Amino acid sequence: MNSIVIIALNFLRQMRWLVLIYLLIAILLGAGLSLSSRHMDTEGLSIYLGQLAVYANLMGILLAAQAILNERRSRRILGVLSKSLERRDYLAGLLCGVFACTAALLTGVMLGALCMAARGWFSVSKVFAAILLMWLACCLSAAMAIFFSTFVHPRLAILGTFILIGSGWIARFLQLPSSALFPVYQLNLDASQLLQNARTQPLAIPVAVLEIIIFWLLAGWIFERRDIAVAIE
Amino acid sequence: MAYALEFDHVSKQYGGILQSKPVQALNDFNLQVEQGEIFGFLGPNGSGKTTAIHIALGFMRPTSGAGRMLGQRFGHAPTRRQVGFLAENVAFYHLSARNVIRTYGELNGMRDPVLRERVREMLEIFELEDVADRNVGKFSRGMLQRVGLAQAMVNDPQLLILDEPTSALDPVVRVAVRGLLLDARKSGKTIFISSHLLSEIEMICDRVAILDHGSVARLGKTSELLESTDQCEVVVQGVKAEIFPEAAARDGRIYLQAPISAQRAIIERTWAAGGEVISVNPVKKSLETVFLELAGNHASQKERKEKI
Repeated sequence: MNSIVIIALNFLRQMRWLVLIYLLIAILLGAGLSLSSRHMDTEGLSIYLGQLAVYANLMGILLAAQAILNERRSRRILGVLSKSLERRDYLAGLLCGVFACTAALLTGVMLGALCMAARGWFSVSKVFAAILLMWLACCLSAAMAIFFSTFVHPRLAILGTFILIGSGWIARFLQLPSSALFPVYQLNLDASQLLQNARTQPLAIPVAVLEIIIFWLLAGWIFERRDIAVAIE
Repeated sequence: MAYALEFDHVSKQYGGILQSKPVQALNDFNLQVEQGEIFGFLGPNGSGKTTAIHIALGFMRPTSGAGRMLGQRFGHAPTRRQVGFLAENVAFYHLSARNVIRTYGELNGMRDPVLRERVREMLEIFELEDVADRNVGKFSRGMLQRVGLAQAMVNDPQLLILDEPTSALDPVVRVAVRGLLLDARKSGKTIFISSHLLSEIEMICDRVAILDHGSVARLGKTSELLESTDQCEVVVQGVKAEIFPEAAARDGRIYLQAPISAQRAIIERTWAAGGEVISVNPVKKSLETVFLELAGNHASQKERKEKI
């Protein structure tokens, strides 16, 4: 467990400038909106959160898809995996690092949203719950991306992740029951609906948690069988 | 007693289905490294040394064959708790030197207060105390290598695997590292060194393997490998230098290097001239000579193959 935390913290540390910039953008945008508008309705807040949810998801996917390749390119992976560390735990460390990055970004989003909530426009607890749903969506898309990146190039991993997320969106659009299969879109939709007091899909949360674990286990199983010290270009 | 390292018919091929020309990095490679010895692992560039090390540490899987490290199959993570490794081009998280050593100790399951004490010792041994709180991202290659050695040894490993450990070190630290490795051997540790610094290998290694084209070309005790089987040195005195015009004369003695087959004739000529034989010894080669002979043999074999 300690090893996972060490790897995650070092990952977050490497990405600190990127995360900080996103964090500032989110806070400034939220603060700017709350100061410039006399009143904002729930739809406006949903749009603000929805936009930043897309950025947070994209950031999670990009960071996760490139994490292994970057570690191999820098050769740091050899030093770390020469210690008594299972590859599965190493991936868990990288994933937790990505989760922490997206959590930091969404904290910025939440602070921005709380600026609006502070003016009495929305319930703080609903904003908090919506942010948690968005974070879960980010975690799931990051888990998908890291799973693909264990056996294909990061660009293909990103493509694969988009296909899985897109399949959930298409199934939802076509009102197919399989829309709950990869619930990234569903969770973001639920976050928005939560603010508007609309009905949410409670099954999406356990499905997402379960899928994160499954994608991590599968990624670990594949990564265990991969050569990590060969030329990567 | 289990071997510290054991490769059993290990082969490794890079590339494959999608690449037109696969590369055979290891070819039916066999090697046993005894516990408590310093083992030198030599070979020209591309001979498969680093591949063998990476397979032992579980970074890659052999195409065929298997092996064991400290009695466990290659890639067994808990066994690596007793192993220290320094990679050829060492790279770390951008932390202070102290925190790098500490982090890698923690990754190997070490905890305070033992870890704190070991980190202090390593900083002292590798003369890193003055720069302990500086970020390693700003370190020179030599300094990085010291940090690399410190992180490899922080867990007091039973088996130390070093890929080019002293190539960037200054002579003072190099001597200190040599002393450290010899001390480690005294306390029963096994050290496996891959290096191009043949003089270093010659000085400290008990046994040496020379790898070529993915398999062991020469293996043996360092002293045996360095001993020539076809040349001897005869030292005589009390004869005129003209009797052996090809020899070197020094302090009234004549030093001759000749094939072992000519040894008897030289002795008889000395006695016939009323001289005295002081010593007859096999000629000691340097590891560099052994290495170059081997490289030369393979170059001529390759030429012959190309002609055919």
